Amino acid sequence: MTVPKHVLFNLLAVTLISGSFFYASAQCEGYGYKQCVKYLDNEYKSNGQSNSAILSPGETTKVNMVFYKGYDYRIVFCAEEQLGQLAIKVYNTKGRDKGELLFDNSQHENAFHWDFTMKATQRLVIEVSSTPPEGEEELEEGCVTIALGLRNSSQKGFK
Amino acid sequence: MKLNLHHMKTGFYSLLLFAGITFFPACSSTENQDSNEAPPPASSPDKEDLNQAQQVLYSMPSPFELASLIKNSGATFSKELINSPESVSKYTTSKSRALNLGIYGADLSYASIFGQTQEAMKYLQCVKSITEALGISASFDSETMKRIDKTMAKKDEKDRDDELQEIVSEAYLTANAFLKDNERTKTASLILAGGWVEGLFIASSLSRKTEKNKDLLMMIAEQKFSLENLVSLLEAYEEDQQVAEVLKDMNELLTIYNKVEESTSAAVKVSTDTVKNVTEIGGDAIVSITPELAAEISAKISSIRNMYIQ
Repeated sequence: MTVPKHVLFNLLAVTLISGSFFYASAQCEGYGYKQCVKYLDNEYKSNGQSNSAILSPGETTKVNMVFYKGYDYRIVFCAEEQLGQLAIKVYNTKGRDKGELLFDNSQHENAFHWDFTMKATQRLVIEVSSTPPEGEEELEEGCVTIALGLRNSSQKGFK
Repeated sequence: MKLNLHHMKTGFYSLLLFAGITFFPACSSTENQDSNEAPPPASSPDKEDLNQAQQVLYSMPSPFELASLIKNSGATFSKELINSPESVSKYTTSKSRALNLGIYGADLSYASIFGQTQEAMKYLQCVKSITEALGISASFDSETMKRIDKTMAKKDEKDRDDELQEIVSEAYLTANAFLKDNERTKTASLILAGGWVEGLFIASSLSRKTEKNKDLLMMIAEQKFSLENLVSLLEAYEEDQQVAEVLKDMNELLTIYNKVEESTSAAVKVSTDTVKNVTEIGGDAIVSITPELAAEISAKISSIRNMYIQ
């Protein structure tokens, strides 16, 4: 199941405008994930792991993850407002090196989630960069969280 | 934002009453047996800061992911493989507690995903006992306790198992986040290591029983990537003696895993359904393993795991 784009963008807008993603820096991991995981929708089960980082505007964080054959995945990215629009790129790997570019959210209306199905197990590298609004003089660091949900491709449920 | 510790504590003790006294008195709490449990002071510098500066995160499969992979391979449930709930009282150091929290979490996931609800409840109690001893009972708040109550009252087995898996997955996440947010990432990394070791131990033990199970064999081979991630994750805290000991074990295992052949020329095929907005990622298998190498991995992981549960 795919979350309609307008729903996702509205959710993002609500998150940013209300500032509900504001966090105490020491609680980026837990609170960030709670904000992000709800966009996994009931169709995907959280993998039970949280991946959060505190970024300065303009910085990039990289996550190495393994995705297994036979599963549908949804990755959701959340960030605090001051970090601006997230630039998200996903690559496969060749040995320990970065391989081909598989996803670039700038080619998908700056989407902050990605749904995909694995037909072969792959180790992927996810790069998330913050792009703060131009003209901002006092740039603050902020919390970025990646939530991962999965389901069995054949049974459409986490079995 | 503040965590409501009062409710967490209340929830945990309620859960102990529910699961411990009502059902499983054998798996008793391990609290008050450890002398070195205090978390580091908030200002204590460690490599976590360096890790953040590098901004590289290494993600590990959760116990539920590993259990799900085992089930999808067609393997079965073998009660004799998992750690005894009676052993919980043996774990009195912070290292053994953290590793065995991961191990019991993996056992709980394995039992739960194969529909062994009563067995799973025993392991849930072990997990709760150790989380309390480690001071991370935040993962079992009053809301969680109410959900478990409601879940266990369900008559539909599938509903009950699904819900239990979800609750445990969330509790695992909460514990992990709580540790990371409270600068106890070393403990979190040991829990992750224990969970992964147990998952691989179960998979490789099952593989020895059913050598024709190619999916299970492939799953074991693919754990090379997770092991590399785990080693990188542990390296960030290797100045800590407990972490260094586990890192040494993982590096020994990695030496064997490096014999797993990895293709660097495997083609990846990507196709996107623009209507459904879903991408398919396929391609060639990127690793290959022989049964002999799988047996070598199995022997090593058994040795490491048996050392951790002592």
